[in-house]
Amino acid sequence: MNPLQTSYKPDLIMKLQTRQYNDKIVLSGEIEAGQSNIITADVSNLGHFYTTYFTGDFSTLILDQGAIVDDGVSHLRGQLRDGSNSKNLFSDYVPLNLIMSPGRAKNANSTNVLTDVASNNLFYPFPFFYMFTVNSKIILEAKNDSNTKNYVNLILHGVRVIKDL
Amino acid sequence: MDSVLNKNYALDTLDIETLSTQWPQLIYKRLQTIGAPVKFLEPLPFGYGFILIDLRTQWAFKTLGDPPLLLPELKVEFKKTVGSKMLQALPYWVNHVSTPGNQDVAEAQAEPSPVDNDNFGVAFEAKSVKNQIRYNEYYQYREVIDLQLLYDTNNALPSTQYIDVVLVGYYVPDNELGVWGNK
Repeated sequence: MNPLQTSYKPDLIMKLQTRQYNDKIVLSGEIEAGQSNIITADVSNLGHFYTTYFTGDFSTLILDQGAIVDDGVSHLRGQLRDGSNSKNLFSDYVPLNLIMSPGRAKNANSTNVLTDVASNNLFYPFPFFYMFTVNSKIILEAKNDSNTKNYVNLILHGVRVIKDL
Repeated sequence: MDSVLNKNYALDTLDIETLSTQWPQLIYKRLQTIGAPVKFLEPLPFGYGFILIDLRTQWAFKTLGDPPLLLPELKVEFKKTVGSKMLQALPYWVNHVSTPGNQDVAEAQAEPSPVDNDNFGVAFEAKSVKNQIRYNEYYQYREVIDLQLLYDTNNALPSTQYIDVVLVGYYVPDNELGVWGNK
């Protein structure tokens, strides 16, 4: 859509936005060393949530000779599920660096956080079109192959669609 | 499908019935090769077609104990089982369809190598791999997604190599099938 070639009709838009509007759902969590963790977010009873993109970042920490350092290795894998019907949206646990942008992020738990290299990743949101139904749960199960705790943040960008009453 | 993906989803009324039909699926495998072609085969479940949107890969540039520079080239070749047609004239380099990402593996760690217990194999660096080229190729239900990866080196045969492959696409229910209760 080109905003300069679109004729906006404020009355229609305002009417429409009482039923659907921009929304984001955030999933954030930490995964212990060698463990998996289930991170959930509720779609709530406001309405359906139609996601169009997701973005994510994660830490790349490892315990090296007693110190937690950022080694830049992708230790986390994740599986996204629609909790309303336990539908797996990934066939397997996907390494997060294959799908997440901005991806690797500095983490304050690194003992060398000031000197850790920046990720220098370009920003490419992942197009992901899916309707999570009202009152359902969004589940991110992440596994950590590192020998120390790692962190992941995921934002589902989309549109809230008010359900018919 | 295309009309759904291109909706001006903030300003057009969303049709819940339409949006509820197809759903995203990331098909992931970690493949292992010693230089020979390796097959990625994914049979589709009954009742669903699959539209392939894009392909993401990462692969090892070297492994511990190997010569430092093997200069591997990873090529991909798609084959359609329906009609026995190929989707390319020749196998082509995967970095022509997705942003060249991780081509390296972790160096030795003082601590145990960060791999899981399922022989996941090797830890890739966390450089992002971004899609670029849209395939928009539709596979019918019960078809097999068939692609072959060719891992060539210019110098010497590498030891075991790992290739991560993610196919990004959408399952599309075939509403005409009896499995959905239609006649």
